[in-house]
Amino acid sequence: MRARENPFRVERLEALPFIFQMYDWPALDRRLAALSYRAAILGRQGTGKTTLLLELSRRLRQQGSAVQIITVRRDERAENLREVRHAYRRLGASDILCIDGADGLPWPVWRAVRSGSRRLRGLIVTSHTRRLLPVLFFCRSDGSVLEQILRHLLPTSVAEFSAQTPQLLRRHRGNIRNVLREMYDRYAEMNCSDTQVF
Amino acid sequence: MSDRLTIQLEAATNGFAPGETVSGTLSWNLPKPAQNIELRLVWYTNGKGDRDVEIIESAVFSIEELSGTRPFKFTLPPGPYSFSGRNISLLWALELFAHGSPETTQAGIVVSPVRRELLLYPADESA
Repeated sequence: MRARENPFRVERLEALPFIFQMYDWPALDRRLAALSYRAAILGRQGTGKTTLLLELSRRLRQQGSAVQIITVRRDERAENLREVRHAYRRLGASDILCIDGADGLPWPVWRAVRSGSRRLRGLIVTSHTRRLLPVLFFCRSDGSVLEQILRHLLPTSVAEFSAQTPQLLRRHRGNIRNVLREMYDRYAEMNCSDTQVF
Repeated sequence: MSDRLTIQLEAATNGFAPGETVSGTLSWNLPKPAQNIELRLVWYTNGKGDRDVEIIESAVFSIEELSGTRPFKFTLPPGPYSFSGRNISLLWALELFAHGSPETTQAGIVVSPVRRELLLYPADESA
């Protein structure tokens, strides 16, 4: 099976909607406004922080804000700094900066980012720790979230995979991203009409 | 994808060899004015894990009308070739955006010496 045909390919995962449990967008919008658009999305790895940030940024763009997203790469300090500087040159008073993985920034850089953001409309980050900004939302993963994701990805054959979800979630310690990567491999093996390996 | 923006290739096929010219016509029919529209020649990866994207060339067209057409022409670079394996596909595309608008559309093309996507096989089975 070609990678571009696998239903668990990255393009489809990036397009997934964020799935709320006992919460909704109007409630999130109200909380974000109450926090003056300076807030953090928290959660363990693979629980949907980036998915929520991406969907939130799309909604903010539709509302008229210019939104720039920076993804922090833990081993590329110079590149992170360059991106932050570039963002601050571009963004104005009605704009919002989003930083995915802000807890990966060195502390002095984070302080500069937070301070510089006062001239922007907002600063929204994802993080594993609570120490950066007030909490907007805490992402958690469970079997029902994964089940709904599978219905999006495999509308006609969800049953084959949903039986595996409790065991896979336990093995990957709730990291849905890693579960979906394993399902990518399983789907490719199940639909292997040839023997591509790369 | 949008039906307000379209990319029409001049060639009858979407398969091209490296170094060849991709030409055609782009058209727009927007509900609100946009400053300009931009056509990009890009390749990107898709499959397991993160995506790589590279913009090879970009052409920006100033537009004053709500609808219209413009010709375009890009020369393809030597590579990389379009290919697919089990874990990664490399795909080429023309992407059209209207700045200041959510409208966007994409036309996939294939770039390889044989004008088809290359499939990757284990060395012992490709002989």
